[in-house]
Amino acid sequence: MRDELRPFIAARQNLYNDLKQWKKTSDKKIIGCHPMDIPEEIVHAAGMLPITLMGYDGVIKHATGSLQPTIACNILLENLELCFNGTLDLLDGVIFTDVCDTIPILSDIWLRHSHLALHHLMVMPKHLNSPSSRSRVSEQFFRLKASLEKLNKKKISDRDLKRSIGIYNQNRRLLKRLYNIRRSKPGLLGASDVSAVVTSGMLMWKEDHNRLLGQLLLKLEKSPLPSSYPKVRLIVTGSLCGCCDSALSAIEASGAHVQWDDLYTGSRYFTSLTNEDIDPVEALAQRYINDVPSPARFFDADAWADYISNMVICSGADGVIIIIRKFCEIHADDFPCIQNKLTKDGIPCLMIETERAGISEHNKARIQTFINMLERE
Amino acid sequence: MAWYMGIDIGSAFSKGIIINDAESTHFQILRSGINYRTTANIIRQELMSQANLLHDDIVDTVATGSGANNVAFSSRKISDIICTARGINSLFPQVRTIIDAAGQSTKLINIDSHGRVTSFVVSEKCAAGSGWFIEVVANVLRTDLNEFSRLSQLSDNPIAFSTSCAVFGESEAISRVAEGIPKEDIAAGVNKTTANKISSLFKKISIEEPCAICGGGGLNAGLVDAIEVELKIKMLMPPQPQSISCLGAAVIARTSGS
Repeated sequence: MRDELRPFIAARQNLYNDLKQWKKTSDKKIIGCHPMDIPEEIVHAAGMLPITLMGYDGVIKHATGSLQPTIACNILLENLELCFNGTLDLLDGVIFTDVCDTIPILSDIWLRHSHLALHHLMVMPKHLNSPSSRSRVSEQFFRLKASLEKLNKKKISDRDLKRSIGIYNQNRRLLKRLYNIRRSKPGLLGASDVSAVVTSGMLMWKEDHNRLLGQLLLKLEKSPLPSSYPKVRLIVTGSLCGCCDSALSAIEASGAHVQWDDLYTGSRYFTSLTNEDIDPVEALAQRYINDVPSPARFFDADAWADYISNMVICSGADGVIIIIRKFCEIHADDFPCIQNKLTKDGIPCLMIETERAGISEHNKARIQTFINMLERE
Repeated sequence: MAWYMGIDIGSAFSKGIIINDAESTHFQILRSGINYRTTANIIRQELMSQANLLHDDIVDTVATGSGANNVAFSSRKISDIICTARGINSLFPQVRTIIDAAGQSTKLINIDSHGRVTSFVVSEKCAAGSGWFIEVVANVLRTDLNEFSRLSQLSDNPIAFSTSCAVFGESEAISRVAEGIPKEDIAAGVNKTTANKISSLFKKISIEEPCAICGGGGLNAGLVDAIEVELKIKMLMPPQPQSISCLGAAVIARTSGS
C-alpha cells in the first residue's frame, strides 16, 4: 500500500520547490487559497492551479512582529511567515475568506508586504438562513470570478466552470469512497495516510488527484480486512485547518481507530456535492449555503452539535475527540454546545487544545485515558 | 507462584513493582534519566534480583507513564490515570477522588467502587504547580525535598508567590532569598501556591470523599498539609505514594492474567 500512497505524501513534502520547478515550464498561474471554504472550482475553471495554504512547520521569525501570536492561531502565523520569507512569491494571487475576525487583519498585513497580481478577500454573510444570504454569497463568488478573469484577461465560460464543478464533484465522490473503506476496513489505512490523501488534493491539479485516487481505491477495495484492528472507534472534529497528522497519529498510537472525521482537511471538504444542472455560480453558492454545518461558515452551534451527534450514531463510533487549535475562537466558542449535546445523547467526548508544537505529553495522557476508559465499556 | 509486573516510566522518576497472588510486593524507583528504555531494563533487572526471580516467572507486564512506549518487554501500555485509579483502589477501596501530584503534571481523578475512572482532569500544558516547580525552588534554597518539606512545616508566615510557573517561580524565589526572607517561609509559600493551583483544578471536577493523594507530591508533608487546609478535607496517604501508578499497572496485569 505504501507505493500507492507515496505520490500523495510526496505532494506535501516538497510542495513549494516542486511548484517553483513546475512554474519554469508552465504558463499556468498558481493561486493560494487561505482556509477555508474558497470555491476552488472558479480558480480551476480559469485554468489556474488553486493550492490551499496550510502553513508550514519551520521557525516563525518575521510573522510574530506583525500578527500577535497571543491572538492568532498557528495557521495564520505560518502562512504570513511564508509570505514574509518569500516562499509564496511564486504565487500569482491569494484569496481569503473572512472565516474569523483575524483573517481580514491578516489580509491587510499581507497586502502591505506582498505584491502579488491578485489579492482578493471575500466577505461572506454570517447568517446563512436569511432570505438575502444566497444572493450575497453569489455576489461574492461573481466578484471572485471577475477578479480572476481580469488577472487572466480571459472570460470564464459557464461551460468551463461546469466542467470544473464536475471534476471537483468526482473528487468528492472518490474521497467519500476512501472514507467508506476506512470505516469498513479499520486498520487498513492510518488516519495520517487518509489525511495525506485528502490534503494532497488541495495542492495538485484535481484531474491528477482523481487519477491517483482511483488507482489507490482499486487497490484498497481488493485488500482484505486486517486480521487485527483497534477496538475503540472514534470521530475526530475540531479546528484543524492545516495538516493534523500529529494529532491523528497520537490518537491511533493510543489504540483507537479514527472511524470518520469532521475536519476541514477531511470530510467537510468532500461531503456536499455541487448541483451540475443549474447556473454554475448559483450552484456553488447553493453548496456553500447548504454545506455541512461548520463554525467556519455558520453561527448555529446547535446544528453543528446535532450533525456531530448524528455522525457518531451513523458511523457506530464509541466517542468523539474535539481538537481545538489555540486561538481558534470560532471553534472554541461553539465547543460547550457540542459537549452538552453529546453528553445529553450519552456520547463520550474529550476536548483537547493544541498549539504549534503538536500534541503535548499532557494531551497524550488525556487521549490515552479517554481511550482506555472506552475500552472497558 | 504467578508474578505480575507494573512499570511506570514517568518524566522525573521511573518505578517498577512486582506482585503475586498473595499480595507480596517488590518495588524499585530510579531517576528516569534520558534513556527510558535503559531505565526500564535496569528496573526490571533490579526487581528480578530483589525477588530472586527469572524473567519467565513474570506472567504479564503492563507499562504506564509518559515513557511507556519504551518498555519493550511489556504486553501493553495503559494510561497512568487508569493505573493510578486501580492502584489506589487496591489499597483504599473506599476512595472516590485521587490527587496525583506528579513531576510534570497534576491529575485529579474520580473513581467508582471498582477503581474505574469516571472523570479526570489533567493540569494544563506545562509543569506549573507540579513537582517540578517545587524541585526548582528547593534547588534555589539548596535543600533536598525532605528538608524542603520539613522547613515548610516550621513556617508561621508563608510568603505569597505570584506564580506557580517553574520558570518565573525560580526568579521569584531568588528575589525573596535576596530580600532575606527565611527559607521556611519561602518553602511554605511554594507549597501553599501549589495547593492553590491544585484546588483550582477542582473547578472542573467534583471532590467526592474519601480523597487520597499519591505521586511524588505525597512525600512532601508540607504540601499535603497545605492541600488539606485549602480543600478542608483529610487526605488518605498510601505508604509509597510514588508506587501507585505502577502498582495499578501490576494489578491490571494480574486481573487480566488470572
